[in-house]
Amino acid sequence: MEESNQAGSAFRLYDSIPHGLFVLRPDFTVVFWNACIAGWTGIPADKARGMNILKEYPSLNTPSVISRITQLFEGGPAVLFSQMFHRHLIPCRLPNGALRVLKISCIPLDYAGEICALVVAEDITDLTSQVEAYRGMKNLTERQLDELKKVQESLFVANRKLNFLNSLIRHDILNQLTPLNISIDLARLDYHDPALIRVFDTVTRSSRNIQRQIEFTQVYQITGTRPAIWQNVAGTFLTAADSLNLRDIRLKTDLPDVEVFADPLLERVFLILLDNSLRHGEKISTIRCSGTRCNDGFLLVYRDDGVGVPADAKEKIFRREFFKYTGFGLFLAQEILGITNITIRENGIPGKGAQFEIIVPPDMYRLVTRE
Amino acid sequence: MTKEIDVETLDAIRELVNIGVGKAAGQLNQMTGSHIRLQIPLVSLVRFSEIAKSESQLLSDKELSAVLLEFRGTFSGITAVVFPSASAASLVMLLTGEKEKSPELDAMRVEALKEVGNIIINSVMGSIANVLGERLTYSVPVYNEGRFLTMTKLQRQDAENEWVLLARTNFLIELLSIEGDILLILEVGSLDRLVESIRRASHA
Amino acid sequence: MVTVLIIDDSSFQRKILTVLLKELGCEVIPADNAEEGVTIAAGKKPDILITDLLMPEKDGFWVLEQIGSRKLQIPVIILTSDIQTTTKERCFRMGAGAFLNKPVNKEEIHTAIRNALAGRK
Repeated sequence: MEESNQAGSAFRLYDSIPHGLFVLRPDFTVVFWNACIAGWTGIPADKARGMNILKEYPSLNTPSVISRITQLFEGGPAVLFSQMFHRHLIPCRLPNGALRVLKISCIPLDYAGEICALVVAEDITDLTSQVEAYRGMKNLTERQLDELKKVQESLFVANRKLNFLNSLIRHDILNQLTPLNISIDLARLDYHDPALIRVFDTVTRSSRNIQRQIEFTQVYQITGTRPAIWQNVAGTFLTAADSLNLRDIRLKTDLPDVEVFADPLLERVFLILLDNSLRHGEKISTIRCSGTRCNDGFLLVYRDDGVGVPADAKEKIFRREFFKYTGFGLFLAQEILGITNITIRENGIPGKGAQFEIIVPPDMYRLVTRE
Repeated sequence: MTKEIDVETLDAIRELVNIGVGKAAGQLNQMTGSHIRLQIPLVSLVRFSEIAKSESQLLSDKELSAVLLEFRGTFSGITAVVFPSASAASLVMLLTGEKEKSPELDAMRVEALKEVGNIIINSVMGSIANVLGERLTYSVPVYNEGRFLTMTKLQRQDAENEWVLLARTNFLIELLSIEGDILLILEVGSLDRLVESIRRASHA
Repeated sequence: MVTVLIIDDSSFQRKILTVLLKELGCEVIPADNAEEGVTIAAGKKPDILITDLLMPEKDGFWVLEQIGSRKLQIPVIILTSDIQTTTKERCFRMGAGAFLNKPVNKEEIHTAIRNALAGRK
């Protein structure tokens, strides 16, 4: 009784701690049993005092547990028991009847002239449930990703087969055009009847259209097949300009150091715009490219001082069957930009010049800060 | 101050670590049922300030998971068990028998790793203390992640001059080899006392 | 006087064991590697062989295998830091007479030697 009073008063503070706490002697008998562990186990403190913990809880009575705690009694360091290896070392029930998941630490404690073990049991049931739920979600996501990868791979294979077939067909068609064109050229030498000449011209035009359409399908085929990448706008624009003979046309750029996330064919977009200006602008002296932030993201403006686009053609020019020529270029430009949700429209004043406005959504551009 | 220690003393330390690691392997085996094949630990002595240049690539710049324990007595310092964070999760999962595509050291596995580190450190320190007949006192073990030098230099004023006994061990579990380092970072003056203790035990 | 051959790559361990065995009145022949140990065993035919398991190049399992295959009829006591049951079982399957864990004390060694000698008779 006196000893239990001594222990009770020495450890009274531990009764107010919201973790399960008890003190063991080197013979594994209980010296102190706090209110929390009493509540969890249903064993009152006065009944627990003097109890041999190994007899009460067989899950503790294993060689590995005993040898580790014994080492503590012999002067060794604290001992930790994790829930992954010892889920319910001391079975404690929750109000709903489920077992608590405990994290247990045994700390050496000098008491009454001997080394005892202060055993701290922390309830980590909620944390464990959360981690297990997270793991479940992670595993599910990984499985779904695996499925997606499989689908992606099979689509890739199908796409590769289609592309190969398209290449063969293009090649065969172009091979047919060559003798056709040669035949027409030879016929022109022998036949000079104006009606026949008109027929020859029609055939030649159709042949050229077929060729351009074949070239278009070749470029369109690779649009969107390679992943989008971050590209510097000014650099890409100037590279496109360098590949064309701009003659005396002045090029002015007013672009911040900005990158856009776009299909690798972005340079082709600028080539198309520049080519259109050269072919259809008629009296171009200056081409400007500028950019600024706007409500919808980033606004890139391409402007020339040519004849411009008639009011009733501003949307039609993006359809491949329209306008003076084939219109493929702008249709392709729109498709390339559309891969990453970038839009393009023509907003110039007819007679004063063409103005193409490219709007990049907020998450598809970034201003570059260089150190 | 001893600048080097002789081959026999290094051999003794290796044997003490060996005994400790063997005991730890036995306890892990009892706990998990997994057989752990041991290899002879490679032991070397380096200055704390030289540790980044030591042969241990493990310590130089990688992200590490470590369990640390301070000890005090005839000789004092810190014992650490260190694993690369990337393989620490694999080690825990091998021991618990889990199978997951991309092992991750989540909160539960950190606790498990702490226990594994605790088992290893306690066995090694127990071996040293028992064989040498020394009584040591210990702090509560702590777990840390990050770079080794940041973890262990905390609040130690004379860290640069401390000696570190570095034992490289390999835990071979089911054909997978997990490399870990056990380090004894000895406070200034402690290396001499440890050497003296070993000499006494050898001739006792 | 009982002759005991000890095979251990650790000089520290050999020293400690030699002191213990001499206190028990044994004559000690040390070897610092398995190959040398087996050669000595074949030549000098000690009464008992105590071997470590974990050694560089050839290990204690190799020693057990050699003692068995050469039919040297020497009781082998394993003294190892590896306390796993699976290791112990393997040693006994290979013919070990006793399996002791390091660090060993005088009583344990004394009992093991006594049992080994009794078994030999």
